Amino acid sequence: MPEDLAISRATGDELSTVNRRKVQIFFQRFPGSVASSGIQGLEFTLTVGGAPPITGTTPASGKIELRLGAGETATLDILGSQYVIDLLTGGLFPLAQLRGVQQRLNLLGYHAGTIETPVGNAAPVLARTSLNQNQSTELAIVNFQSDNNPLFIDGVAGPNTQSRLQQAAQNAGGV
Amino acid sequence: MPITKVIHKSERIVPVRFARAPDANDPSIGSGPFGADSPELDDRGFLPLTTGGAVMPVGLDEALAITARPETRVRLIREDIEDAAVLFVTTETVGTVVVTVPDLGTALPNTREMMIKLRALASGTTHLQVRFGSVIGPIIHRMQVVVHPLIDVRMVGHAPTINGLPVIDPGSGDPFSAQTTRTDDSIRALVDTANAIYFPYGIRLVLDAVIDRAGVANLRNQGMVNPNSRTEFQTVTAINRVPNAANAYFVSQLADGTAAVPINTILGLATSARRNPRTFGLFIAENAESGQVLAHEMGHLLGIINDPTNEFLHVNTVFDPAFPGTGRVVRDEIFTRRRLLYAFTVLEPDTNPITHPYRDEVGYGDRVVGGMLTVKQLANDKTDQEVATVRKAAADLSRAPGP
Repeated sequence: MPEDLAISRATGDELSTVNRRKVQIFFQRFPGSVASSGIQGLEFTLTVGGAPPITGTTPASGKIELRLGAGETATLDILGSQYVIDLLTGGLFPLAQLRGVQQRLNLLGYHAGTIETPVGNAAPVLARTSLNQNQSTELAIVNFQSDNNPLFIDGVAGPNTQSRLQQAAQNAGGV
Repeated sequence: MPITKVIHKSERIVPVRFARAPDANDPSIGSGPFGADSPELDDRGFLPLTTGGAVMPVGLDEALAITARPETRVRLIREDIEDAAVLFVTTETVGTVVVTVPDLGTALPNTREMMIKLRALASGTTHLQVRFGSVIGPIIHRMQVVVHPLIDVRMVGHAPTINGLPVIDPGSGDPFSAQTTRTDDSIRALVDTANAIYFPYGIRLVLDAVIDRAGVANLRNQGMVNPNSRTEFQTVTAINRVPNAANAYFVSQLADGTAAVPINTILGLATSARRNPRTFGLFIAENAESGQVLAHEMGHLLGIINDPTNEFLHVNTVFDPAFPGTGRVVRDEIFTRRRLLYAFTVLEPDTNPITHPYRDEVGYGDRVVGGMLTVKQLANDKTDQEVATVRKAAADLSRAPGP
């Protein structure tokens, strides 16, 4: 069992949530974790597994919280759209890898594009170079650096950007 | 079509974003020439939230009746929301701009990319708001719109004859001509392109009806002005100089006839009107094919520079000799390539698929450099608020007293 799934048992959650992880989804006007960016007043319907649907309205933070187990799928109807939510059970890739940077940018809402996948036996691309980066990723990095003084804005996720990105992802509850 | 999300613990969903709209009718097109009605957005980051994400500059020609003013367009792109979701666009305040597309109270189309057009009403700042469900629905995104009233800057075109030692052009085998071969129409075309870039920032270059072709200077080399020679610069900018105007000199070459400043390498040159009130001017060489170069040099004339603090110079990638294009000692990310004052050199083709050939296209066509001036003030970027600088300089120039 992955360590993070065991946490809910250790913290004494009720039985129905054992082996389920708390997942937070924020609907926001802009990326990042500034609370006032949340979209309030969105009506939603949430269905987790085979449970009856739950309806609600987003609070000022734009947050919707659910608990999801491995292999379980949730369906969230909101904003005239349907979001099918699965759990990432293996954890995020390391920050030193470009795909780890992309994952964290995406979870913060920066739209870094498709996660880089090594071809065959090739080693993952390192984050500190811009090789194999795509336009979406570079724009997402520039935007993240612009929002996070005093990072130098160069479109490359070097050590300082990686450190700040990890901090931002943790603050956002994504790590 | 449902949107799949694989989430570890948390995810921020930002449904839409704004982007430049190069094509007048097709919002799916993301690349195209400079247009006064399709401004580049300053979309570096999303903070502070009071600004509201990107910033769009809009020019205002108050001499025109409101209905005769050009429509400015911008695209809205669905990044994380279904095409079927019903979206509306509204303005935060009335009186600064009016949305003309879509029609008042009409939803945006159910497509991934959507076109929004607006018309300037008055100088000022407001926000475009994207709402879900209705015109009073929740605001899901917004963008600041800054309307700049026009400042006219007189431009005087000069095509002087530069006498000196003939230098052979290796391309043609003939000496470089003493006078530019540009026609009046081709000079006007360059100014038109520069105006397409500057209009959203509220600056208009007004070129004199007559291009001055009577001036003569005797310099070292025929047809050449040495960009490293203050004397040559000042000799030429004194020719038929018109006060309180941007005097633009079109010459064959900006070079010194030696390997120190090779031919066909420098496209333009300018000095700041504020720092050099008696001698300021700009030069455009024959090999400057685009009016973007003229716009770039006008930026210098109006007080902005390529690298204000030397922080622009920066090794942006780890150098790998196997991959040309890595380890460049210049700030080089794709956003910076969209900027008017970055482009002090042409974009180089990057044919190696493992590096970043996508940087060859920054939204204006293959290897066409950009035209954006920064509007935002970011704490970590010393090249901010270029618009405020050029507008102040343009205003000073336009109202300077006569001789």
